[in-house]
Amino acid sequence: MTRKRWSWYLLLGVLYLGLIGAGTCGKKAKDQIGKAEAAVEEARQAEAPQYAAGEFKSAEESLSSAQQQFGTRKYKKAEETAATAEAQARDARDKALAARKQAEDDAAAARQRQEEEETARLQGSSLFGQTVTEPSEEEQARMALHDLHFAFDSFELSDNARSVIALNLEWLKQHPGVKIEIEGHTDEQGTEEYNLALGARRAKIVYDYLVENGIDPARMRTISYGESVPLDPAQSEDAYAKNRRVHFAVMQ
Amino acid sequence: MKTWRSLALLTITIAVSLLASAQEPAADGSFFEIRGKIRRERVAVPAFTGDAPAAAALTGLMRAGLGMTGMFELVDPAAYPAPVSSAAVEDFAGWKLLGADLAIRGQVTRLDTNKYQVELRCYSIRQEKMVLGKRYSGGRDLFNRIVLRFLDELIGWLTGTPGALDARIAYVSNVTGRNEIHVMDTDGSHDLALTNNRTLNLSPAWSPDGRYLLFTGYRARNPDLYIADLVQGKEFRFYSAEGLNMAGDWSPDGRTIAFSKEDNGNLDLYLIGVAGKALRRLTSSPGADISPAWSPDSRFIAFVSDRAGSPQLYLLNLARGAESGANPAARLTPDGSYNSSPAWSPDGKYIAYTGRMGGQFELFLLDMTGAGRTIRRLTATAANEENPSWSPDSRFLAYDSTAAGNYDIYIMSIYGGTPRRITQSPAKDRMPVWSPRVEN
Repeated sequence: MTRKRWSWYLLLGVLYLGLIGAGTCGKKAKDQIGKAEAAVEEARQAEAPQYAAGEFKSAEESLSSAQQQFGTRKYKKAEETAATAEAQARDARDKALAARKQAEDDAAAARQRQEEEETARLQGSSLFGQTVTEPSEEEQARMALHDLHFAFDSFELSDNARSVIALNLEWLKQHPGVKIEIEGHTDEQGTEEYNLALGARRAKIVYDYLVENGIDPARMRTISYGESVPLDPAQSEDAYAKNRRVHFAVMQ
Repeated sequence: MKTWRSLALLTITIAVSLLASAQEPAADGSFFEIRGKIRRERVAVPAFTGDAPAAAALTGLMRAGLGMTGMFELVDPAAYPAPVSSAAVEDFAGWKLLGADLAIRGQVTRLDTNKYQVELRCYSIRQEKMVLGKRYSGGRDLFNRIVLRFLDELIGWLTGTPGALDARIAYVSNVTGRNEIHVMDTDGSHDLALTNNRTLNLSPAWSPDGRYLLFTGYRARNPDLYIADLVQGKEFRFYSAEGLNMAGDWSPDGRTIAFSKEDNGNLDLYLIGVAGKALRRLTSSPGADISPAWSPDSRFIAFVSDRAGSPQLYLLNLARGAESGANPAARLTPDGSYNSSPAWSPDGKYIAYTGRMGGQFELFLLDMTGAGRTIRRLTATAANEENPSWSPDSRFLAYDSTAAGNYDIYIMSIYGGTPRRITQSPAKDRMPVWSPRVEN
């Protein structure tokens, strides 16, 4: 009886020690997982999903395995995997920070180049020396509103023309004070009178599109110039393609 | 306005008198068959005599002018017997040896600082006698018109109907960078800018009496119809409405104008009285109906429409009123991807037009006499030929062509021969229209 009881205590003691031991191992794994989670979060803050996607993904996967291992009480394994996840996450964070810095530097360099080019352009134009502040709305319109191009003897909007007109439409919506004259032009092939009619219809199809998409008709008028006002007077397919256009002119 | 007045003056200073001559009975007007092989009269033009610089100038003009008729052929001056006698008795045997059918002699006398008397005589070598003799007087600047007028007379002797070379051609030039209406002689002389508004001016059309020019102008920042009065030297806006208003043709009686007017992007034909009243719609198709050309008998209007997808020529029976289900316009051009700019010959027989063939634009002739309505191609060049306009005698066409690089005005005889380039400017010269006969 005493022997039996002693061995019972012994068993309890072993069990207890085992539990303590297991508890210590579990705590260490849990701490490590916590560190890994923090590191992954830090990497996320550093925009690693964007700038170091591969490394970040590995870190997330490792973290997830560690959590699973912890759930199945493989504490030692979980602790190791979590340590890997933490290392991967730190790696991802560092790489992301470096990549982001590079991207920002590149953008700054591009801005600088653009400014230099603009300065060079202004030096070549009569505007140089004047105080150039904000470009006038008319100047903005000239830069923002692009010509639409057409096929020979056609007044259909091509896919390309549709994407250009969509951009022009957006600009016109953002500048409700600007009134425009929609000019229809053709190349010099064919007779003037038919080209006048063709120019009128090119202008009209653009006008209709803008009205359908919410531009006030009172802001617009159409005019056909036929073949009489070419952008490029050369007699080549290249020139003809440039001249078959609808131009947006700002009305005073 | 100074230029306008000199334009009017030009028409009144040539004094003409008929020299004693044995006028031959004129040949039948249909002497030249368009399809048949043409035998051109071979003409010798020995150097004119009298005031030397003036005689040399007139000789050159006569030799150049014969070629543009398509009916005469110059016998090479290098082969002429020398010296050529200026005596009344002609060396008919000598000319016969050269194969000449006709010989033209000229005698020039200086009357004043810038006044000359020019006597021109045409001899038939076969008949060994003078068949045409005219005396003209005028300054040096009128020499080209004296020659053109004599050629008109010569054509009249040969065919029974005088030529119409002594006339004006109105056209559009962008020599200043903008399209302006110009007027010149049919050989390119006396070129004057009629408009000078630095906008755009297009599609000139003569009134039947030659006094007015209708055209499309952008002076008021919209394409409207304008009329220039060449006698008074005035110009006024004739018709204006928002959108494209495009000239146009005058009715043969000069009382009505046919034109195109835009309604929401679509162009239809309209008629309007010359007083600017009584606007009447002629067509209502969903296509563009443009470039009306009145038939000389006033019963029809030929026009261009792309109602079937591509521009083609159509015919509207105007005697039956506007186009309707009961009076549909009939398509005239069965083939081709692009047919445009119809011009009805004043004799009513043909419609000349521009057609696209193999990527180029060429001139074609549609025969309106037979039921078959045959089509003949008039030009075949690597260049573009467009916008034909008839001379009042239905023998010549003025048109624009890129044969020399950019667009210039040319005239050609429908009897063949080499087309004559009459504008040389580095600018674009387009849309020529031949004036009615100059009467005086």
